[in-house]
Amino acid sequence: MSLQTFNNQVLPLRDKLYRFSLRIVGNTQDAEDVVQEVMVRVWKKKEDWKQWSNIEAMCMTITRNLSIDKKRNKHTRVTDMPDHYDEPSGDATPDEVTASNDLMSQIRAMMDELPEKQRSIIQLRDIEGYAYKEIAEILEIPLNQVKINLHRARLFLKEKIVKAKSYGF
Amino acid sequence: MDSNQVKILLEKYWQGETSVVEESRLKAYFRSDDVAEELEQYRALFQFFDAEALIKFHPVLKTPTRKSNTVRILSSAWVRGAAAAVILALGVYFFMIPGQENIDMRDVTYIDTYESPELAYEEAKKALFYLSGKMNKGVSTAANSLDKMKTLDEIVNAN
Repeated sequence: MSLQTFNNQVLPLRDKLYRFSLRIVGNTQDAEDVVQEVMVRVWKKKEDWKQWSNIEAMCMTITRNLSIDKKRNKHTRVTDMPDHYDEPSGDATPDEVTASNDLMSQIRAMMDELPEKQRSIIQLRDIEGYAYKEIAEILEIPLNQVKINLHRARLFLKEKIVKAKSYGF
Repeated sequence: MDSNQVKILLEKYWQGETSVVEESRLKAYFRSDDVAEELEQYRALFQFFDAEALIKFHPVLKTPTRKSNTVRILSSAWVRGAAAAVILALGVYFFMIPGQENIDMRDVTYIDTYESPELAYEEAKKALFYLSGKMNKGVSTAANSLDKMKTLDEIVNAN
């Protein structure tokens, strides 16, 4: 019963898929489009579900690929303003850091400075709580690559936080 | 959990060596009110993770404003449909129903209203005279108006 499987296993993932896409594309409109597209694609592939060892991981993989495509296509449009152009960057001057009281947006800006792979790993591990093995499956990379990239991403965030603190964060 | 334990755990965390359970303990610690002052700087990071996990997918299509627009569009389409139906019904009534009486329109053209051609000629002449009389009256009225305009024109030019 494919509709039942879809309702029970795919549909409840929409929040997770949305957050994952949002982390990559950086804006709600594109992330919503990606989630809609993922739902359509997964439904069209219902004949293949039996061959998928993990439907959730497959949905996350499709979400990531579509999000990267979306982001790439957007960058080719010359007129687009860069994402988060109006938010403080991680390299803000001490004065700017002091002026901004929004700690969340500062952390978000630090996250945005990470390369996509590291950002996705932080999203999947620290926000969604996936096991290393699942992350490796979603990102289609070896397990040790997950650990190395997670370590690098966390160290980067730590250094940024310490640096910001020394500027009066 | 005392701050020394947290520091050890936090060091493991930066190295990417903590388990999911240990990471949950760290998050719980930074959610609490008694965070050690030296660790306070990391609170925002763990709070950020908590906050991000609460983001939900809200499809735009379900907003009430869109709904009311849809209703209005539907009702105006319904009105247009009803108007079209009324026009169609009137058309059917006026054109189809006489057609059902089997009147051949070709016959109508050849039906004479006068018995002799002379009488018909006289009547036609009378009608045409009447028409030309009305037309001449119109022409003379226009000629009078033109004369008045000419007079007016002369006065204007003279000054």
